[in-house]
Amino acid sequence: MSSPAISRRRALGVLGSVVAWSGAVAGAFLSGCASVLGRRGHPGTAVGTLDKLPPGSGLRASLGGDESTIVVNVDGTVRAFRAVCTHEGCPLGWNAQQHLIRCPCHGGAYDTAGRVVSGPPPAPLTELRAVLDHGTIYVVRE
Amino acid sequence: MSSSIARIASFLAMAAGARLVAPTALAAQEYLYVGNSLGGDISVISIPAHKVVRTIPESVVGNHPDDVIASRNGDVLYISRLDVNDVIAVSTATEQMLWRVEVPGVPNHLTLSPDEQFLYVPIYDKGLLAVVDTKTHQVVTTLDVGKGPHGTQLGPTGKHLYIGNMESNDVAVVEVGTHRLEKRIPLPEGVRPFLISRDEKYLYAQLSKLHGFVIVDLTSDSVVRTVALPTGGKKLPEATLGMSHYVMNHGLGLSPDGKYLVANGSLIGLTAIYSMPDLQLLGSVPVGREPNWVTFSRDSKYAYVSNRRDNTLSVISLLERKEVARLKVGEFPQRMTTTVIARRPN
Repeated sequence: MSSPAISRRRALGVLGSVVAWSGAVAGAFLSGCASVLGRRGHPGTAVGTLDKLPPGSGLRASLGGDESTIVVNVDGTVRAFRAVCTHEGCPLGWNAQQHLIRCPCHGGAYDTAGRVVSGPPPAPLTELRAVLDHGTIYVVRE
Repeated sequence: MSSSIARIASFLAMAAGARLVAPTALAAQEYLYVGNSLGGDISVISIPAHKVVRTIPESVVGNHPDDVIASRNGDVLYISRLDVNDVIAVSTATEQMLWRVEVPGVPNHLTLSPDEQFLYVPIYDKGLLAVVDTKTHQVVTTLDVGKGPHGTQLGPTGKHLYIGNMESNDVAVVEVGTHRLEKRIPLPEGVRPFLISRDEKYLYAQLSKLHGFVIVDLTSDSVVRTVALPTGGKKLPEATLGMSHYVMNHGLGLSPDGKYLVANGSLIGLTAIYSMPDLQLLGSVPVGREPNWVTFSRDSKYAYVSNRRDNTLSVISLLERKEVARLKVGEFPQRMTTTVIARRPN
């Protein structure tokens, strides 16, 4: 049985390998992921790989059922948001040209921090936890 | 001899190549164009075969299309795009963009003027109606019409344009000849899809939180009746943000022959069919998830319902009052239109 401290070291080691392999993950993201990777298995849903999500890009992915997520890579930091507009609950899309999260119902727009940029949404997006393991991005439904 | 054969082969090859890019003249045929708002493309469906024959790709449309309507001769599609605040005109013959015009905010449901010189564009986030000249491709005027203008309908006389406001809970009436706001008719809640009776005496409107629709007398500007949609034996689910339940019903249409009113029950995935003008419920038809829009074949044999949550289209026989086909279309299908065209790409 390993102690929490050992688990954390192991996790950091694994993540260090990931960084070396991908060369694109920021240190802040590493520390945020460490405790999650110390667990056995993955608590989230695999939504893509980091090599397909270079800095400045985003994607929309299913989390199963009606749930989906928008995942963005902002200067090496991967963030995930629940892809549901806070205006009327429509599913959201990623506009690659604008680098904005957009609503296909009434035109609401969110930036890559989930903040409302324009349109009728009354509140920012709900952020989900994004975890990276061996180049695969997992999103955790809270 | 061999050179002649080579020339003939060359000619045939050129002809074959030309066919790849040139539109083909056909016997005039009816098509349904379905805007897939998340996918950014448009599914083209033949009528009455009800087959998806083509897709106008995201590279032509894109940017989350909201509405798609057709010119009356079927040559042009007008598409409002939410992400980039514009309207584009697309040729049905080539399925390429003809022109685009920027509008001063987020454009929603479009309507053409009777002479098709003007395109009326409600600007949801600015409370405006933008009037676009289809010849010069310019916004020629804008006017304040209320908060959250969403749908537009031309009255059958062609003298009045009606604009449903989602946030100020009313219907604005604009005089077509002068582009002047005549009045605003208050309604109990946000105005969703609506239609005008053929004699322009009544307005039928779906409201944000009503499982049904209201009937407004356009002489007294007051609600005279509320019609509850059937539930098909189902309990209406509680409103949750995750399932777009803040719009209970979306999709209301009057068949071209004036005999049927069709209303979507978006919460529970059904479409109700009423006789007109007596408004008797003829039946309800289970469709896909979150039905969003209704349109018709020109012979009034079929109603088409876009089911945006499962990316399908329901084909409903109005005579039989049943779903006769369900087609897979693109992602998040919403608005759609039928039109008859004589040329389309191979």
